Amino acid sequence: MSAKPDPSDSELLQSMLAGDEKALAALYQRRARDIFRFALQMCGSQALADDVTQEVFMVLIREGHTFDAKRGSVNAFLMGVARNHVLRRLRRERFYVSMEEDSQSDTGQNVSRTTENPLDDLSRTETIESVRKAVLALPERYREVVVLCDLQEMSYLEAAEVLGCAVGTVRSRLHRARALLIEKMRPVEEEEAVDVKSARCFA
Amino acid sequence: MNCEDFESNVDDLVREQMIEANLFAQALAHREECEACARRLENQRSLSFKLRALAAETNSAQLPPLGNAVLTALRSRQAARIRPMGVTSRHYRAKVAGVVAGALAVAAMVLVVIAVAAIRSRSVSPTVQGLPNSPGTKNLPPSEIAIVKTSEVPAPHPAPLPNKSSRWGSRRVPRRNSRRNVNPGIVPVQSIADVSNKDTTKETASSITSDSAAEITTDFMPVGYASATTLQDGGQLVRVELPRSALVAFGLPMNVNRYDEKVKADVFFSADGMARAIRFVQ
Repeated sequence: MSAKPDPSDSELLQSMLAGDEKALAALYQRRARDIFRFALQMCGSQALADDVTQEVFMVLIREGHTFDAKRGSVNAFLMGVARNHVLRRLRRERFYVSMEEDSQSDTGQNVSRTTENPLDDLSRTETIESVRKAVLALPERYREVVVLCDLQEMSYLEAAEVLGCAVGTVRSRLHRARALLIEKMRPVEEEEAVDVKSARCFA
Repeated sequence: MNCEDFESNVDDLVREQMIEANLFAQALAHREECEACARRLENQRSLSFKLRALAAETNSAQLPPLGNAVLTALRSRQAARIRPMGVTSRHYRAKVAGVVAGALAVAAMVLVVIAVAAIRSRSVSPTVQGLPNSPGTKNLPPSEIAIVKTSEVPAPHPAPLPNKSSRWGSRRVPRRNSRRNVNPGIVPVQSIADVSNKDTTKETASSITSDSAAEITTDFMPVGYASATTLQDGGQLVRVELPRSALVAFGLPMNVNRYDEKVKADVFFSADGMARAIRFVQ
């Protein structure tokens, strides 16, 4: 006797729109993590990521009937909604300055300390923090492709569905974004070396 | 592969999403040859490693539980869906109100169109109505309509009744596009001179506008001795009011209780100004 296959996202969505709370819970369990990660990586604030995750499912309940399976998957639909909410919140809150201590605790840098060598942990944490700052410092259009393609490991096609643009646009933006990240994360000593070279040029 | 091609494909090389195997091999070969491209590839791989570390740490972040607000929204939506008839949502009520307003607007437009059509039908020019035996009717221009007061019209002289088989027969032509006379003392008169010159046997007289639904007319009865040649020059039909005794003069019954009232009549005057025929109208 074969087990009943898991319902697809579309089936869960239809059941949820019909009022099935279990379908909502299953869909949340399946897709909320991606949305939460995307929001967290885009804005760097866990509180804001929480809000965005809840808002996305509120929108899904309210306007889930507008989902068209021909235009993309449920995941792409949800990520598109999440993207819109994140960008809206970022634009609304760009005039506020976050407190450094809170942001550090929000981003969860003190979560994983798995290795036995504390120096390795420190180095790793420092590296992750530098990458996070570099990603958050990217312009939004570059940041979102880095989050989708590199952090969420989506394909170009999936990212294009979420962003509503062409695959070529995703590729070019990702190329530019990675170049910016490498530029931002260039080691300090390398920059100093460049300065030294410049000084020699002046001499 | 040159450095430019390598740079354009380095992202795919790092992500290991290169589709073409030979392109992948060429990129690796170019990396062996070009130190700058080798360093570029190394930087990209280092970046990917750091990004994976960041992603792994983000994965360990605590996912918020499904909020009560979401569940409440789902329940309220479900409650709105199963709400009984008569207790409808605001959106549905607005939709119904819009449909009703549209229907009312369409009904109002239909009523306006009907009213305009009725007004226009009343304002149509009066028609020519042939004498007995004339098969058709003809419209006359308004310039040929005259107003004559009944006090100026002399009472016609009775004449012997003609044979039924004569052209003054009893055939009646249906009246169309008639209108009601507002002033009973003033009646419009239509000339048929130009009409009777063409075909005396068919179109020899014009009709007086009257309320066709209310009027009952007798046959035309000759006044004096009229012949067909007399009518060839056409004439005019005049609506007059006569004493009821005129009915007796033409052999028609009269209600003696209404002897002091007047009776309407259409008198046909030939071109020479003589009354040639008459019919009574009720």
